[in-house]
Amino acid sequence: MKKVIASIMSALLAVTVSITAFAASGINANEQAILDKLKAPITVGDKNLTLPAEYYNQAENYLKQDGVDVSDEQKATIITQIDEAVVIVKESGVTDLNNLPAEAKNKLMANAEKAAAALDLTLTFDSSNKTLTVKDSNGTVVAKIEKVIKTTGADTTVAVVTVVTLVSLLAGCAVVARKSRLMAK
Amino acid sequence: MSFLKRKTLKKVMAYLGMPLLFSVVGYGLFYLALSPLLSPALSALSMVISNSRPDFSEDIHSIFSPQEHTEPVTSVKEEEVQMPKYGAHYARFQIEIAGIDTNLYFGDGQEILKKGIGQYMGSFIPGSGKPIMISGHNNGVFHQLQRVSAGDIITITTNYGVYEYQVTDMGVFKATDKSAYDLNQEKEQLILYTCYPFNMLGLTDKRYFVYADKVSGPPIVSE
Repeated sequence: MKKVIASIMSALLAVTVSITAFAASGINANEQAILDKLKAPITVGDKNLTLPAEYYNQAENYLKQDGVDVSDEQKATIITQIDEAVVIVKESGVTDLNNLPAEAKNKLMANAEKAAAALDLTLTFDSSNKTLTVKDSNGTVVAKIEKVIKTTGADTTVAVVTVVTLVSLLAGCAVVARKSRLMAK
Repeated sequence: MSFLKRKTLKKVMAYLGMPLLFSVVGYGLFYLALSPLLSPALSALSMVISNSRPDFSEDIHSIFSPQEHTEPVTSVKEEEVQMPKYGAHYARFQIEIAGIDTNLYFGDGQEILKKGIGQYMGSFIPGSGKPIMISGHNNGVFHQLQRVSAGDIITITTNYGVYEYQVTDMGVFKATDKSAYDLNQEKEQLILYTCYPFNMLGLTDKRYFVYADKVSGPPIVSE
């Protein structure tokens, strides 16, 4: 019985150690290949289009995370999707990524979802604030495609609307009270 | 109901019921309206009036645990650095001259900026040799950013090293002006920003930027 428990504990220890070894941060060769692909310019006509630095940097930061180690199979899937995305952009003929037609954007979204799925990531688009959020299987945000500069001031819109509503209510109640002669002696 | 009873009820409603109703509703509405403004102000106030060292132990999303080094650290291996995840408190941010001493979080969503200052995920952690972009509310910790001038030192303490940056420039730009920052540069520049003017009530399209270059701290190296 002791030998069985010892064997089980050894096996558990071995698995833990192996997971720890793979959990080290840094960029492995497969991840570097993906980053190189993302950084490569796309030539449309005489213009070279590049992925904005803020998006590339988020990919690099994610790939450096502990526990993120892209395998050969995952790399192959992701690079296939990147290659297909490049073809879509070239065929659109646009020289500014912001001017991509809706059909091209939808195709690119499909490519992005397939690439994300290879790493067990999910994409969610919030149309109210035009933000694309990438989350891992634990629901932790790993990247956000949104405006770089955020709102860092007090928003008093709610306060103004609330105060105006309150004052209007009070004024209305005063009128009703007067008409109903609630204050009459 | 007799005339006298109706009259009494009217008076009770007029002098007790209605004022009570208005007090409760009014207080509730004012609380709802002012809570977005009170929350960051109270957070900033708690840092200013505290005499004790910041206690990070209750921050359940904190990976901040600085190590004491007996010898100077000349470099840090990449595999020894725990890359923070979104929402993690991973460093301490100080500008002594401006009285700023606060938590630095990874990510800059609104829920993070309510707690402290946040690093944009499209920028890098200290020691990377690349730009670091950090934002905070102008009615919170970064209200004091207006007291910072060229030559002042900014300190960021992480688990793996202490980094110092010297302020080189300040400027006001529109939020949509991409010339205000360069996230592509191969240089460790600290880029801080907050809404401008500092005492503005309501949303503004301008941002106050502070730029600082790294002067000390161990670079993160890969093998």
